[in-house]
Amino acid sequence: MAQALLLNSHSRSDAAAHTVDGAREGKMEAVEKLKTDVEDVMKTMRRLWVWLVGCALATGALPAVAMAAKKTADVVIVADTRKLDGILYWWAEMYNESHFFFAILTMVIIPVVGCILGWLADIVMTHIGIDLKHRDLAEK
Amino acid sequence: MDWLYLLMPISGVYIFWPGLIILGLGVGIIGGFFGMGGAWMVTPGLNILGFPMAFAIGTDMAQMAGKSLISTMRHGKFGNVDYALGLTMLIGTIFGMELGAQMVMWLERLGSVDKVVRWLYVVLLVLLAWLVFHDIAARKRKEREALAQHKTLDSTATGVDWASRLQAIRIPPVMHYKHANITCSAWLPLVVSVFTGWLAGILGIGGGLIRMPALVYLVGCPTHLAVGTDLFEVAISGLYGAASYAYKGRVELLAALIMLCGAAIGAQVGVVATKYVKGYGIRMVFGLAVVGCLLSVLLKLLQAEFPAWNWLLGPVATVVVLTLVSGISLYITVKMVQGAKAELAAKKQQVASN
Repeated sequence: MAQALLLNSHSRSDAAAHTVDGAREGKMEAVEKLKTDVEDVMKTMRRLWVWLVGCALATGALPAVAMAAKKTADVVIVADTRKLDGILYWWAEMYNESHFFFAILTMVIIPVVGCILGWLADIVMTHIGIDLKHRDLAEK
Repeated sequence: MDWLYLLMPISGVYIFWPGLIILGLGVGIIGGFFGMGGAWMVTPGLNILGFPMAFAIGTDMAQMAGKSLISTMRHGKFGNVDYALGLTMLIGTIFGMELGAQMVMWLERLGSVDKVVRWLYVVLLVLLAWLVFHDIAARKRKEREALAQHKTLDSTATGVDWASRLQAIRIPPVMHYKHANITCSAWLPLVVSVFTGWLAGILGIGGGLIRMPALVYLVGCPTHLAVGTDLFEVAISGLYGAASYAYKGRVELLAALIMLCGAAIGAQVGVVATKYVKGYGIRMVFGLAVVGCLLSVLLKLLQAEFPAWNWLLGPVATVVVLTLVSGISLYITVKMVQGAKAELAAKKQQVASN
């Protein structure tokens, strides 16, 4: 009887231990999952941070490097505005007054016009009727 | 016929404007198809049309930025641009280009560097042409071997495979470039772009001609992705070049805008043609374009070496470059039209069968 009680108490304590172990394992799993989730988020944030810093550096470096370009030629070119009128006159005058603003405007106009022309050409191409969103990546 | 000539406000020269549109169209087709800026075609072209050399280079830079942007937009819709890879490469390219430019200035202080640079360019182009045609031959050999074993070679298999060995070097941080489907150390594209940027800086070129094969053979990009990603980079570096030349007062914006009108159409043709031409088709025509560039540079070198023969070498150079550019543009256009026709016919057939 005493042995049976002892066995019973053993099995009970085993079951309790199993329940505690199970709960602990569950908790551990949850903690591990949380850890991996946090690590994933941190990894993504780190990657995002690296990209942001990279883009900021690149964006900052571009105009700085462009402006640092030395004028090697001593020849000063002046646009002849005598035969010009309207917008071309204004453009040539601006060139004569400041190469800096000329460079800034060129940098703005080129991508804007590129985007507009690209968008217009896109509209024309879609009217042909071919699939312009999918392609096969095969090398041969 | 005066209406065919336009007074350029900055350089003060009268230019045959339909020539600018044709030039833009041609470089748009070729650039959109290969992912290169095409300075080797445009700069002499603008010079022939009447621009002084400094303006020809600056104007080419400006139109290159706009044209590459148009091509990038179209390639982006096809999913041919890996922006993350492009940005990584851009950082390396900027650093490499500055390194190259500084090196040229240092070499200039030592003595005449012009001839060395030009011959270096020739050597590089010979190596590039060899690499492309060797790769094509290697892929054909693999195909024959597979056929002998009654197997078919995978459609993504390549002839030369240096990239997988380089990708296996996993120095942290290891990145996965989703669109290009490449997992490699971020140092790989960075080091490759510093190298190509350094070469471009030394040679004084945009670098699309070097970067596109570098993306394919060293980074392991699929050809279509290499073309799109390279164009994304050319657009940004072209803008930087345009800013630099504009600040020096050597950009004729009006000419660049006229060229862009032709390039907008050309770029669409070139990019859409990549849909119908497989990777090795693009590599083959790229090899021919490299040969064209090589001939153009060689003839220029010969003109400098033998000025007495300029009466012959000058026109020969013009004819060679124009013939090659027209031939390649025509081939790409025909491929695009044929592909579009076949696709439309297949669509019609599908509708009819339904």
